[in-house]
Amino acid sequence: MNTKKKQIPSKKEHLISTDVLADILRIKEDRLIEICDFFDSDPDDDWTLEEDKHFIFTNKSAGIRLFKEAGALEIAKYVEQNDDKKSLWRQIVKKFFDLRHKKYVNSLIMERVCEIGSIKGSIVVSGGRPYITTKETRFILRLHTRQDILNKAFDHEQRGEHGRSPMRNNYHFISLPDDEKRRYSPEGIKRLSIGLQAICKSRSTKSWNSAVQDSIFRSLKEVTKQYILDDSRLQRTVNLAKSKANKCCELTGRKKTKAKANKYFQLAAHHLYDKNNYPFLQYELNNIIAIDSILHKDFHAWMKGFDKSCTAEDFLESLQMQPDEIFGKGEGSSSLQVSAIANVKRRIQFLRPALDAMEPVQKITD
Amino acid sequence: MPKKSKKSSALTPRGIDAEVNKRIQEFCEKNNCQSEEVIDLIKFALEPALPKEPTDPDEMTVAQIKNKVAKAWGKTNYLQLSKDPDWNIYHKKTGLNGRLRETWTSYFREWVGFPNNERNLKPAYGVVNGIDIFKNFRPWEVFEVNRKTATKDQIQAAFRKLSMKYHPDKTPNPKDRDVFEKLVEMRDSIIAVFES
Repeated sequence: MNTKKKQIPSKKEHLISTDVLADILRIKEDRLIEICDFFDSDPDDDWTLEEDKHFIFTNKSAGIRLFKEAGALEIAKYVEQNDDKKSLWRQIVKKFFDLRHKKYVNSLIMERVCEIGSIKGSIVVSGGRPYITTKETRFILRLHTRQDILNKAFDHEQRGEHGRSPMRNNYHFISLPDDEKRRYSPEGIKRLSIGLQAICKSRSTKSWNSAVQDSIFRSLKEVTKQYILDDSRLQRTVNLAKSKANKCCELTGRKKTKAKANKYFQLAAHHLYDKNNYPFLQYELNNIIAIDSILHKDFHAWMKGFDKSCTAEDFLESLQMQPDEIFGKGEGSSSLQVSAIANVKRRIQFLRPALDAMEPVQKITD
Repeated sequence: MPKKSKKSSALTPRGIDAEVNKRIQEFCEKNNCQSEEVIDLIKFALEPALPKEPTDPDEMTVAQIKNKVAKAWGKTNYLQLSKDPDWNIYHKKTGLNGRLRETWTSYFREWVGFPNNERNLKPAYGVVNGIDIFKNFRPWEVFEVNRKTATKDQIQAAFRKLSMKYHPDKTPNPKDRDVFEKLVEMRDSIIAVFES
């Protein structure tokens, strides 16, 4: 019986897939597979790859493997010797470590950007573009409390002879009356990171800001996408909420039928917490209730306009204050009212944790 | 007997030989200057002139413009740029058509530099102090103030001078409102330097 235990790679080990290694070595993937086959063919020659020491199999029958650093270096040596490329060795090692370092730094940046997503009031949306506070911008750029360096970078971008056009107000940055300092958009943070690379001498700052420059858009997009209105996504969520309610009004149970009374019935989707002030709930199914469009209009008229902010508590209040207008006076109206109130309360319970974590995001109309 | 090429011998520079060195020394003594400086100047004059690289997008091919933009974005070439997820997010946000030359020219204006052929333009709609403000966001040049030394008051004064011409209350042309709004944006952008 084979008692040899299969080694599980430790968490600190870096594993490289075939396509990434082929890219690092600047050879085709087929060529790499060919080299591996050659290594495997004769275990007694100079060129060998040992399982667990040089690589691990992810799918042994298909021959798919992940290389460890030692395996990658063995293949790199073979390529250097046999494919006859000048100074490839140095290129390989440099690129190999560059790639590893870049990915590591990028993951640290993403972690920082994700952190600011959960800080209250750190993001403001204007003209469909998110703006981040100066404090959080410094945090992303790893400037700690050095506002003076941030100002220098800003000054460099505005006055410098670098050729780029200066940063624009309401595009790269925004100044709000409530804020002491400017807020920066992803475009603005990218420009600041470029400026910092020019003004800072420290290699680590340069390397960090180079990574910020490379990945800030995608990192911030992930964090801020819940604040940005996406019409098609919203429409999909609304349709889903209506389907979930079986195309019935969730308050009165009415539905569009051929009967005369329901012929002109239209179903509307109401955001219990309005999407302007609570954008993080705009795609949340529990925040969307399917109701008769007439009741929807009446509720917003009761709230004094569609543009006024509304919450689930307001909706609950209207259900309690206007039972006759909503549920009618007939038999069963009180049971409809009770079930509607229970429905809204249940939704509030689901939404409460998200509401507690985030405060209404300020949205500036242009 | 092989024929001597008269043309090539006539064009070959003699270089800085002993005879030339002697003459340089005489010249320097006469004019009281350093011989090294003169030798450097002669060497520079004898170097073959490199072909001038085009600087304006109008003189470049679209591929050249794309590569310039890629370098300004921190990539080595356009191929790398087109694969960059951040670039794709940025490009999608601008809503511009990547197949058009004008799109790449506008990226060039924003990321690479201010094209020389777009300076000192003749008076036309949107042209302020020789710059088309709808194409080029160059507030320092539009306000004609020194970017290094200008004060907040100087910028305000320059803006006020232009607003006398383009303010909606001062001009009968309704189109000038857009020009004025652009000037306000330019002023607000550069004046932010003085607000930390």
